Amino acid sequence: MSSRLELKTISHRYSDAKEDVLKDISLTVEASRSVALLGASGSGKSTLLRVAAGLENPAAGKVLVDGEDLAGTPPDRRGIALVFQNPLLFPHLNVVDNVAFSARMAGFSRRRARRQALEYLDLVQLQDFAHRHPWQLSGGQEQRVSLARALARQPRLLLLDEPFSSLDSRLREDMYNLVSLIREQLEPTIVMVTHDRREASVLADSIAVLDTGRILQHGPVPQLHYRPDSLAVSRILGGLNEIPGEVTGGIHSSALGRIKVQDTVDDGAAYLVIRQETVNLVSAGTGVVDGSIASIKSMGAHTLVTLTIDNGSTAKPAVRISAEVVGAPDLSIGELVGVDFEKSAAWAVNS
Amino acid sequence: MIPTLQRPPPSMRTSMPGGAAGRTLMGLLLILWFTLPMIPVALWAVAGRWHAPAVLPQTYSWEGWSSAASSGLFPALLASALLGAGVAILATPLGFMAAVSIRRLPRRYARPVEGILLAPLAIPPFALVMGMNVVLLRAHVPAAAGVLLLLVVTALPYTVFMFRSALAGYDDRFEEAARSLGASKAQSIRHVRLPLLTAATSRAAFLAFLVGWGDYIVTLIVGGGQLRTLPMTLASAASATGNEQLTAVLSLTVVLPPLALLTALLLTRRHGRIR
Repeated sequence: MSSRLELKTISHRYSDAKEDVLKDISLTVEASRSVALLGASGSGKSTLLRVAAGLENPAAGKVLVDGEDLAGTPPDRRGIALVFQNPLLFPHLNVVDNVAFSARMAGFSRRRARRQALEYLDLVQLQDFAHRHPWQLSGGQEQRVSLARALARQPRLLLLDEPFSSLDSRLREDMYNLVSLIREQLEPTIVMVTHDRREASVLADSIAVLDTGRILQHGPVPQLHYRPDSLAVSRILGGLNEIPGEVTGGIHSSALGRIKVQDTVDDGAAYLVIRQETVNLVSAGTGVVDGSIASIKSMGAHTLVTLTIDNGSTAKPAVRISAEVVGAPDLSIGELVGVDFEKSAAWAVNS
Repeated sequence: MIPTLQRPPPSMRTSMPGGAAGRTLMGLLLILWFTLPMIPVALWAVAGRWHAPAVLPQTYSWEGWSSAASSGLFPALLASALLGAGVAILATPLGFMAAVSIRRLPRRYARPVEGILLAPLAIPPFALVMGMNVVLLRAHVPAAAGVLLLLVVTALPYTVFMFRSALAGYDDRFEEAARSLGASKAQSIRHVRLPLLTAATSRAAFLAFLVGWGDYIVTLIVGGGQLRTLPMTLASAASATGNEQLTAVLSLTVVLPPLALLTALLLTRRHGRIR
């Protein structure tokens, strides 16, 4: 049940809008792969799913599934199932009949449709709830049924539109495990929309970052985090460190000193982007540079320590660098510590 | 952090003072409130002789029923049923269309339009009828059509309100979900939209039916005595003395059919599934 999806130069504008919500978007999702569309609300990510599902006709561009152009194909003939943020279980049907819906629409007998539905309910571990009504389920159970209902359609492509955003964090973890299980068993091609970068990283093989209707970068999860194309991508992926400086011949010069960066960066003004998770705190004088602690913020099991770089320079504003360290380090504001990171992985983006 | 959506705890849903015992008591009082006035009527309907101070009838008979049959009960039943059905058939789709239109209007226009549609509830029926009667007579509108027209207007606030509240909870994405699950446009209307609005439709139609079925003032004034509906027959029986049995039987025939209809509605709603 998996197909290759190609979106080619898609543009779209809602009738009452002044600006295009999607601008010339191209994206390819290989069969059985999972791609996350990551972006803030209003970035156009949900619209892109609606275009793929056929619920919205794009102003320009093509949707191809296994090479076949779906222009003019109504949503029910596309073999693409969309799971919404809200479970949208049909309130007049019980759980098993909700899951049996697509088989019934395809003309199968009620008995056969229900038998198949029970298999999918089993997959989401809700077989015992088959004869309940939607209003008798918890939010997490409703979303599981919604997922089972979409899978029971045996779609070529599964589209998930922020389906877990209304669940609490523990239920979300359960749903992530469920999606992994589904990926193992059914290998569907998945395109999911989320504004949660952690969710995108957990569930997807690659992430496409959307901002104001454009795809800024599409690549494997580590690439997006450690080798972003732009400052915007780094920020959307939660990167905190942007050290201003100049690049000349592949060397970035800044308050941190001269650091070799990737060859592909152009000469001129550039920011060094260093993930806060890769920055270590060491004794003063033993790291790349020293800094005094400006703030300490608990993030639960981790602590975010922000330092002001102290190398005698009088640059304004002072250059700051953050480190996300494990546990709660015994540090105090103003204390001088060393900052260390893997220089060989240094990455710069032009400003 | 995104707030989690949780159902209110049971304590919030059943927070009536007095706990379970208080709720049971209130329930019983409500049942009494509705049934108590019907007990003397039910007894009179089968009483032969019943003089004060006897608590129960001294003799029982079917006399009330036979005299009701001979004083035009069946034609009156038919007339009332037709009037109720006519009002329901016209006011239900009109109410649906009005509710859909209000939903599509921008908010600042929707409120006044809604106010106008609900206005008949605020106007005393007598004032409405007296005013309209003159207009209808001058326009040479046949009496029966005039009655129907006025009753449809009277029923409209109920049907609009029913569909307004049903549509407020209706999410168009139900149909989109159905489409992406392989339902054609027609299938999504038949298997999703219609069933989801069935309850509201039957409730709206039921209320509209009641407006026609139980009306007295409009039928009396605009109908000019030409329409012998059940309430008309009942009123003429009740205005004469010594007709207690007949009045009781006619009262029961006014009350019981809507109750039976309501019960049927409640029973069929439990059996919704894909057909």
